[in-house]
Amino acid sequence: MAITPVSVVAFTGTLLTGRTTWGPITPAAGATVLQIVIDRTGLALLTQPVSWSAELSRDAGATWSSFGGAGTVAGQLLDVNLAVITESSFKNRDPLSPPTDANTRLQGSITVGETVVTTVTVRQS
Amino acid sequence: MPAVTYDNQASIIGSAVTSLDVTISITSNADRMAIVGCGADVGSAFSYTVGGVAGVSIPGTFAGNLLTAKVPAPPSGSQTAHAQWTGAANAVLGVMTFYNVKSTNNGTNAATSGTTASVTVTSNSGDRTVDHLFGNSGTLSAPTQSLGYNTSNGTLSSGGGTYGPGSGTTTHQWTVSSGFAGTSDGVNLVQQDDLMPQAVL
Repeated sequence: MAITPVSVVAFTGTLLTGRTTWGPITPAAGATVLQIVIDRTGLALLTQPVSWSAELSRDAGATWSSFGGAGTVAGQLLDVNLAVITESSFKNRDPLSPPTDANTRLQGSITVGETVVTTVTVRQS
Repeated sequence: MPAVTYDNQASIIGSAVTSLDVTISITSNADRMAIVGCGADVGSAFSYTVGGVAGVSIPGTFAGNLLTAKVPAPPSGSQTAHAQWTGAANAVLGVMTFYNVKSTNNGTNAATSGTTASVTVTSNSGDRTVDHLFGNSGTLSAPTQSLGYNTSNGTLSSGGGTYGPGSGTTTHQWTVSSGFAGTSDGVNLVQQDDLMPQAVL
């Protein structure tokens, strides 16, 4: 059963060129979907692509498995209505089974080719 | 002869992205084949890898973009299915794996019509047929063959995959929501040859 959506900021601030890790965080219990979101506001003036990924642990961080990853272009993106796209994200399709619990952890990394200010948010539902 | 056997599936959803990665656990049984594909609202020059092995086009499938591909002999174990393309898109990535596959043939494609997406694949007993349905916003439901994955990125893009028996001709059909515009790619997975030596009398 899905929970009331919850958002947790996993990282916010300046990323230097290269790979930066975030977490681990403990998602709210009962979540079946985890969406890893990056804020595009700071990407508007960049020229290099950005990639990010996440790992999931079901044993309080003892072991980890890949949760997924994505990449995106830099620059300002517009949607079909010419509105600025403010975020890029990926999320699982198959509901987590079992849902997250007190032993669930999420961590990840984000890789950039130039200094950028952004936020990584984990949305749970 | 060992029949083609379904192994596993995985899918993931992305918004405003140019690549997606999803992990899939692949059997160690011999003669593996992955069928991988994307549904996306925009994008071009799609390419794929599964476990680092590059995807290749399937003759007969939709040629406008490499939205469906096959990956012969992907490595076993926990592997990453990766898709990348040009142009930030709202997309879904799906992958299905099989084993006892010798090759593929009878690739085909068909556009959705109204609220029906359907493609018919020619096959032989022991083979397996596979479809990959992809398109714009909408819901996919009621697949007539065994479900691999059914993945919708809300109102942005959708993708689904099913597998069926080698029965001469196998129709893969879905019900799609009104307004959905997409294509079904179909392919036959040919079973591996009999490895047992035949007695000659």
